[in-house]
Amino acid sequence: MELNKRFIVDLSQAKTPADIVFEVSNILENPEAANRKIWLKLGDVSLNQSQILSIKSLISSINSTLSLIESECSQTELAAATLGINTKDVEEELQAELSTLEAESPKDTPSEQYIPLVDYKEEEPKESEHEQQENKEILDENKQQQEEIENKQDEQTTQNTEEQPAVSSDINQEENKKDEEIQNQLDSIFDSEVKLENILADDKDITEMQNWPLTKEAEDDFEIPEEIMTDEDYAILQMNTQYHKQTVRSGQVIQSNGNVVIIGDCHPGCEIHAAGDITVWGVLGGIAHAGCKGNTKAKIRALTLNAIQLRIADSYARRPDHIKNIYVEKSNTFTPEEARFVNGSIVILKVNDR
Amino acid sequence: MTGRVIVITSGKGGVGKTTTSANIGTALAKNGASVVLIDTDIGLRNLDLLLGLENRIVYTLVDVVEERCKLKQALVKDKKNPNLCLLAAAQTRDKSAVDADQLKTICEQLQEDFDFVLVDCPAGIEEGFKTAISGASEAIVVTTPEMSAVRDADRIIGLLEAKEEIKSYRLLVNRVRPNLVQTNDMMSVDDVVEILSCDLIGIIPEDTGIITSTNRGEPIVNDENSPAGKAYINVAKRINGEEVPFLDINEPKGFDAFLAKVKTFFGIKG
Repeated sequence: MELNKRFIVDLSQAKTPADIVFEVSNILENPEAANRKIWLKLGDVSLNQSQILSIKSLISSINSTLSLIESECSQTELAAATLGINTKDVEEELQAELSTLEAESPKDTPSEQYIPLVDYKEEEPKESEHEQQENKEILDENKQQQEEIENKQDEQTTQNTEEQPAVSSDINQEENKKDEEIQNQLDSIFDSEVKLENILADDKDITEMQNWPLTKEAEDDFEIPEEIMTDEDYAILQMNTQYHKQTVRSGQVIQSNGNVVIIGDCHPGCEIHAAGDITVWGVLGGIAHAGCKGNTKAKIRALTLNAIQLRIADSYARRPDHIKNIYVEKSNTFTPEEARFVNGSIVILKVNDR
Repeated sequence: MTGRVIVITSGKGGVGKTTTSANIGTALAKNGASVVLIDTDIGLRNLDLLLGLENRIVYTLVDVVEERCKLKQALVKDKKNPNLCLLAAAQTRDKSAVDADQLKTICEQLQEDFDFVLVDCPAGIEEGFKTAISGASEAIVVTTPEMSAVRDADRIIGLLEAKEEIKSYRLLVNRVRPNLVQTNDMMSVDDVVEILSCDLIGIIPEDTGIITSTNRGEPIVNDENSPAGKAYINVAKRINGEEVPFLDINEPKGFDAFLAKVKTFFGIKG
């Protein structure tokens, strides 16, 4: 029954995602916060799905649940909503819940108190994509602040959080494990770089073809949803794989009903069509069409991905116009990249050394 | 609307057919005409590179001929100029993929929607050439002031004259170096015209800007200060029927050049 205690955290003063994570992790050291339903009140901070996921898993590590997020930023709300977290206004939700409670059991009116956050006036380090690193930095820099926060936490412990009759117990340990797994995955692709956007999705209308929007660089916090193995993924794993140890030159075409692996460079003007994945152990400069039979889970990987066009299933992406080098400088340093189809667009991710 | 179908040909390779096609096409489109460029150099396509449209090509001329897509789907719009379209050649096939009749029907279809249909012809006088000229009613013969290129242009003019559909053909002398002409190390434009006895449509001076513009994928007519760009704009005007005097490419040299500069500085003419 302890689970249904509400614990409201007001972080509307926090200005960066790092502040929020830092605050949350501090609050969670507080034994009072364990086994609660945590409600977060956020300011105008834009959090993406994976950032919320990491906060969620932080909270779930002390057997509490993140059940509500109030934010002034629509993006954060959207991300939270897609993760199944309530995004209503804290006060409105409280009023609503209290009124229903009063109707059910008119005992004593609970006194809800907000935990005010000490004003952040100091300059925060610039937002990097690694939250954990950032946390460490902040820990070093803000030791004085930490004292304040600890004082504030003492206040928190003295505050009364009211008890309420059980309505439902939503915590599922398995779900938490899953979340952690997903979060690990997300962390690994967190610093992904999105270069291309697909030009036309499945609709190959004539007018669309004539009015291709210019490829734009996506924002830094492009969200990559969790990867779940589907039948399509297994279908690719079971396909035959062709190996080519050659330089694929202009005008040459490689076609396959399975996966293709090329040990060598693919020069501009060549075309590679495969029903499954395309992997190039070299520079990919031509046109690569993975999943040409319609498998949207097919991926294109290369040591250097400089393709003129990438096609996955029915989607096309073209190289941005400002990239002018037609032939890539041959060098000994490579940044392996992988192109995949995410939410209707082709996204290029840097392959991390995991 | 019936547009004009103009083939740009030369016989000899490397004289600047593709550069001429890209620049005349862009210049015509800049003047407000709707232009479509057809690259018929199947297997060795370059026109898309010169226009910087390489990354936009999905369907090609061969796909249209083999009915894998509609003609309008294969037209790639230019980045800057919405009046200009490109029908690219396939890189993975060869010249036998399209025959003369097929290209003729395509030209006829495009004629209805565009003011100008410019056909970029491959080098040589074989299948590719015969295909390229099949739909055209006008021709621009590109040559350089070199004996070999002039000889090949002569051969091409002979072939064009033998084809009834070609109503008119005009000569474009490319890569003229005025200083070499002055020292009699290069044939002059007049010599070329005299040898070929053919109407002149333009004289394009040698310009290093062409190399950078090719590498950047931007036709040189977009740079109005370059001598070659100006010359191409004038060619486009002449195609439209305007009377434009030929650029005086004979740069004065040495003391004369200095004198001319001083004269222009003080606004003295002559």
